[in-house]
Amino acid sequence: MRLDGVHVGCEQCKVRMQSVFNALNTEELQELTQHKSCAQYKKGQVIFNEQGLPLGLFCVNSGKIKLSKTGFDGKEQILRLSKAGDVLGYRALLANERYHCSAVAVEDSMICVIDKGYFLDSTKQNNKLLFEMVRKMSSDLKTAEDHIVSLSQKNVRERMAEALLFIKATYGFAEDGQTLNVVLSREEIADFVGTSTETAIRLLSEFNHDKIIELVGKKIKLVNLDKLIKTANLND
Amino acid sequence: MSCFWLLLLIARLAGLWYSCIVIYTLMCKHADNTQQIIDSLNIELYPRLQQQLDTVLRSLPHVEGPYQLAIAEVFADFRQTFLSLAGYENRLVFPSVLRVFNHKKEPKGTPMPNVAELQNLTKLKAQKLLVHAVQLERYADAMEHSEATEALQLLCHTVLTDFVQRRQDWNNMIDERMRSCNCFLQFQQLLTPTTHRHASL
Repeated sequence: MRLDGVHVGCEQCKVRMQSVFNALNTEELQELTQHKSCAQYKKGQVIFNEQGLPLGLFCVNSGKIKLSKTGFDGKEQILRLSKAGDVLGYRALLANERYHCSAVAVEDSMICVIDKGYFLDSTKQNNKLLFEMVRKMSSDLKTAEDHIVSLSQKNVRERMAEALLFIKATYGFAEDGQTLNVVLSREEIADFVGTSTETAIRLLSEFNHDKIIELVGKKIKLVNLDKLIKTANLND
Repeated sequence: MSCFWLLLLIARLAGLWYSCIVIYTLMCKHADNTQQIIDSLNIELYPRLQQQLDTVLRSLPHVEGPYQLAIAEVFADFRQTFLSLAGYENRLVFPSVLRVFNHKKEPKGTPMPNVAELQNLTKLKAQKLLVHAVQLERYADAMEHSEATEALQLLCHTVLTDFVQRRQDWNNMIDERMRSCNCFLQFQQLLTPTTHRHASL
């Protein structure tokens, strides 16, 4: 294998221990070296394209890779960033499907590609490799799930801020010009936001902590209206 | 026929001319028309949209193809935005507007809702709905015809025609009142602090 003009086998790879190939023995690593090729990618260069057919498994030796998907409106949605030691394109390869996203180097990177047939045969025969692949998939799945949760939580935060703005517009402020001129129960606020009472309580507490509001008994003081408007993200 | 004209008719038939004058002076002359527009949204359009949303929701699991996930995401946000808009209007905006129109019935100095602010907040929600509708329509048009795409197209059509038209009527009515009607010119000065013990929603 040639890396930056230097022949390097997988057994000498500096990031091997961070990759799914960490459990392979010397013999297996030597065999792996025989079934891969490596190439240097410049920043911005495409590694694989959405809808392309997978011909092998990509393994990042150095650099950073952006995995993204293009929406119908042409807007790019970044799925995740990969770093040295990560493998790319395994989902399409294992599912025998086309790539559902594109991979682009965000900095100069060195990437190896392992032959599709060899990789699939290896996973069938080598339990350690299979286990490492499952571990990698589980970790990526967790990242994706965390992302979904953070998106929905962001959304409910926005809705809470929006609800407070609606309440302010309807009932106005008390004498101090900050306290909402109405006393609403947590259940009623939750109902406006479209969430559970528990979540509403937690969000109000978060807003209180972030100094957006101040909870004074059952009353709510809007101490930072600008921040509240920003949190509501109304122009999105 | 609206309550206002019904009350007036009853009062006139009963020969209660004094009551007629009281009813007339208590209500803004525009309030009657406002209730009609509210009803056209709240009683006619929104339940129809809700029905169409339910139909799409039922057919979504049968959607297949490259836009399956994107449709599900946009539709979820669309539905959430619509339910939120309808909820706020039903519980806060419509009663607030009617209250401002009828403010003469309330004791002097009673705090009044800020209709302009409420209108601005709902306008943003309505705009978001339109963006989503355009997006969903493009997805539906790009897919093979099915029960799901048909339901989606019908929903988008309703939003991009009836919804746009009626909201425009509503906004125009509010804008016109804000420019010309005494109710709006006066209520801003009535914002004096009095805490509602517990607002009835």
